[in-house]
Amino acid sequence: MDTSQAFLTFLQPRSRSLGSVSSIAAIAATMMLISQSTPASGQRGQTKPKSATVSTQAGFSENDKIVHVLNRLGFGPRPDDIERVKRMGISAYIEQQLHPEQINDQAVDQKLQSFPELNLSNEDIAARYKEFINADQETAKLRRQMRKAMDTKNPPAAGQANTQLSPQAIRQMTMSDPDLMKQVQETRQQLAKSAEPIGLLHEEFNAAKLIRAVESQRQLQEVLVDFWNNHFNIDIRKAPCGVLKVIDDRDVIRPHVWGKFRDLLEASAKSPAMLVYLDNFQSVADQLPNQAPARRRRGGLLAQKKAPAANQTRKVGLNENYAREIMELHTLGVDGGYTQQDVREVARCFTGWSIGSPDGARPRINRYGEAGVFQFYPRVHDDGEKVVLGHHIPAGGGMRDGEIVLDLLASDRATWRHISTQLCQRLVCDDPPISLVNKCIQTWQDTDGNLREIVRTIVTSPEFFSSAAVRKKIKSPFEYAVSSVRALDGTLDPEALISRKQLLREANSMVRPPQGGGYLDMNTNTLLGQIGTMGEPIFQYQAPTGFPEDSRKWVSSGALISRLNFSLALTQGRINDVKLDDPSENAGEMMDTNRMIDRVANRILHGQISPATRATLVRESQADSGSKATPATIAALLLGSPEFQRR
Amino acid sequence: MSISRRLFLKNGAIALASVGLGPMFGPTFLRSTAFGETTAQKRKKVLICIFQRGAADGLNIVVPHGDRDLYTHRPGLAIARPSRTDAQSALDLDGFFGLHPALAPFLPIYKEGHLAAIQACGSPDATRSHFDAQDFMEAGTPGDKRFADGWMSRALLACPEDRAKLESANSPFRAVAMGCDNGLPRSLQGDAAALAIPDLASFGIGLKNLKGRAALSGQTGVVDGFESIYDNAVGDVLHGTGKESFEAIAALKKINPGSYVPSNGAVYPGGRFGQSMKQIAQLVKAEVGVEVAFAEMGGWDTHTGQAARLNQQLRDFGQGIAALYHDLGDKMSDVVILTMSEFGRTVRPNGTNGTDHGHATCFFALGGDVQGGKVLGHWPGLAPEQLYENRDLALTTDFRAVFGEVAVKHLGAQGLSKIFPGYTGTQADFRGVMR
Repeated sequence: MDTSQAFLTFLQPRSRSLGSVSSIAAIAATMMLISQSTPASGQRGQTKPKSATVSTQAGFSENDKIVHVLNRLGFGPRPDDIERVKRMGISAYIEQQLHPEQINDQAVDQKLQSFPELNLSNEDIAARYKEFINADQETAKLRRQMRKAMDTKNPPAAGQANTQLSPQAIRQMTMSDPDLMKQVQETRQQLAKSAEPIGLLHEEFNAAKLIRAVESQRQLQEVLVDFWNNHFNIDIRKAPCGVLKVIDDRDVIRPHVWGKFRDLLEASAKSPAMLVYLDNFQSVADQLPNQAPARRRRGGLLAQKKAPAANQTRKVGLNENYAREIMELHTLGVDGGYTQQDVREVARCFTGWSIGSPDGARPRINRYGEAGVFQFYPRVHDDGEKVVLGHHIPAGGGMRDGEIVLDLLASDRATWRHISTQLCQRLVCDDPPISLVNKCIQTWQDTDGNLREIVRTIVTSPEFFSSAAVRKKIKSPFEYAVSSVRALDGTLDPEALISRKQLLREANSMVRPPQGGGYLDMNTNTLLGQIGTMGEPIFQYQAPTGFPEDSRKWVSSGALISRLNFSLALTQGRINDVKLDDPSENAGEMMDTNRMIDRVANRILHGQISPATRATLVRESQADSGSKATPATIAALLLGSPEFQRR
Repeated sequence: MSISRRLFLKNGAIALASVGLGPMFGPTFLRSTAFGETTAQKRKKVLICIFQRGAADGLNIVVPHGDRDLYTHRPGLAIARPSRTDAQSALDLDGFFGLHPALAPFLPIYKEGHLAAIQACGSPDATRSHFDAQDFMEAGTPGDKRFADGWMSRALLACPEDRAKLESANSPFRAVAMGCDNGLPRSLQGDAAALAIPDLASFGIGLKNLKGRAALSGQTGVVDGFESIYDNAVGDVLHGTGKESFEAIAALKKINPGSYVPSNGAVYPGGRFGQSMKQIAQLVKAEVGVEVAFAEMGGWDTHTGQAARLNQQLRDFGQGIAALYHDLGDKMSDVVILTMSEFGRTVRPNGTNGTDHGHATCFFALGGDVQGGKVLGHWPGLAPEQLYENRDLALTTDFRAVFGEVAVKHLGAQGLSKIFPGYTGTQADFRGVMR
């Protein structure tokens, strides 16, 4: 049976012949029905209700453990996953997830092939961004010229505003001036054309993240990529991080989640997106000779064009932003034992770590910023001697200074503790037991910070399967949305994920962050927009801390309302890029309500429905004639239930 | 779905509560309202913050018409000195400062002594990035990006225990962001629960896209079902959250935003800002426990064609806030409305009849306990050597002194450094915004 039918199977009523039965019997009957439609699981169907009933008394049942593993090493079970893991054995499944390179993920790979922009080289991405910026500036220039022409023709009264350049005014002007018409058309075309790859880059980037989370077989890898992206948080609204983050995710985070932490740290330190986001690309040695402050040119169009650059108050000198965050957030932790003096010294070590244009030129720093590739500029590097965390770094080290800092930070026990704790928070529980964190530190020491081995330590530990962990994390909005789609065996439609209609707008939003501290991509007819509305706009966390790993932060009334709305939107087919089978197309006979509830509940909550919720569902469904609860309604209620908010 | 026993009970409780007999059975907010009506000695204070996003040009808003340098710097852009014959001239406040003419609705409130302006105010941080500056201001930590929460959230938490026991502490509406495009603004993020309401009329479950759907009948059932599930999930953390949510929804249904009629002849301007103002008034008047509310208005980034744009901005801004003020009527004795913007704009115009990003700007405070009828703060002057980096109005009031004064003296928060980590200011830095 293919996955597309699974949703249909559990939503589609089969029979009304069974009268009221006890819940256990109903679950058993449900399982029989499911097994009939799933030949491979025929023999195993009867074991489930039994295991569900013993779970409260004798630790966790195999079923509970499998659900737990699927919830933590991935974004929740798909309906067939439980059986699959059961067949493999839990340990084998964990081992497999720890080696994603051995997992066939063809379906996802194929889908991602329709996103060519994601494979552009860094140089190409920077070049295309520049093309768009140029077209954007040409457009602005033309508009200014036209407005000036209009003002000359009809001078505004003193104290009055300039003429507004309305579409009508443009039409009027161009009608009488074929050359201008041609110029306007060409400028527009160039803008639209150059916007396309930038808009697509953004759309494809988001789409790829969703597709991988929902459909990839390499679930643990996606969880870890999400974790590290959040650990080295970058807000794509700070231009040009929107385009640079694509490179960061692809070349910095993904290739390193299974390797040594030191390598990941260095990749991030050299990531153009990080260099821009935390301002290091502007940080140069204090008191460099021959540095006159940038002066503003006056008069004429040139001044208008240059004005924004001058307005950025280029502080010529040291910028401590990255130095502080790499210690506080990326490595040692806030109590990691560094001082303000260390922050300054580390900042000095990283002076000159910046970005270069693909053509090798030092990028202008204008209002858009500029996409580029990592480049070290020895001339602006502070080459004096430094002392970082008590270590003496001799003068004249050049770029080596920064690398020494990375060595120091990556080998510091405070870093091991800080990051191990955060990994445990993501994978185990909000307040990880010290015993587990210490095991991680030991592994870190034994393997020189091998992230695969540290994750293995966590997910194979007794603490991982303890009652302090199982079902104790509240899902983040992203986890909630993705696990909902997976629970309904849904897939994503690559076509619907990419909106080609708004590429210019998308490209614009990569250059100008939304007004009012607003977020991008908040359309609630899309999965991404729903996730944003629920409070986790992806890659758009302003502060460098990233979204909280402590899941208690996700509990709030406004947030819950948006979650319930999501469960309704999803089950009613109102999220356009999610593909679920429409139950109404295959409306069979009505099924007994009890059985229907148990069937749907079992597919979504896997026997982990609380008696209270089940009783409520039964009561709410015992309607008089008319508005009888449908399978979709039951699914909505279950996805919205407190049980499903947990993982 | 038929009326369940649970629903009946709940409705019954509402009926009882409304005659004052059944507070123990009603939802928390009803219960507290019932108490509130009889025993409230301590009146609840409300703070409404309005963020002007994009950097408002303080010099053309509260115009220092008495400073000659203004007209030297801004020929053609400065608002003219007050003149009875010129409708475009400043409305004099104190002989030195005047209001932009589009802020005419503020003038009577100023004269009544319930509106104060704070000039040359803003963030001491030098950034001219909207993004960073807004964030710094909302975080209450200029120049420091280490904090994920906002100053209003911290201010609520800094209110002493007895305040926590006040009715509002149980209200889902204690902290509300109204009409903010994108969820909860930074100011309200943090450990104090806060609710983001894009639009009162559509705040609820499953209200969107239901036109002509057969699903509609089922929908009511689902919403009841959700409520019921969370009602019964006793012992789960989410039980409380669910309860809050459904209480908020139920309370909002009662408020019935569609049929709202403002009091005292207040007229709100059209558009999103006017709507936010109106809906905040509705919530405050409905006494559902609002303690802090937040709204925002974009469009202040007047790099080009400033005169016309600022005129329009200020018309909506002034009418909206004045309508809120009049609509709240007597309640304004317990309310402070505070406006803010991330920074000001260049003293000199740029090449496109606008202004570029500057430094200090001006804020407003309105309310019964506001020491109004004054322009507060110190005027740094506009002579070239008095400008900040030779281009901007210098800063003489740290925004934290203003926010802090309102938080401490109005809301009753304690500990400035708790609200603004790293702030070394004291009450001595307050500018006399509050009586």
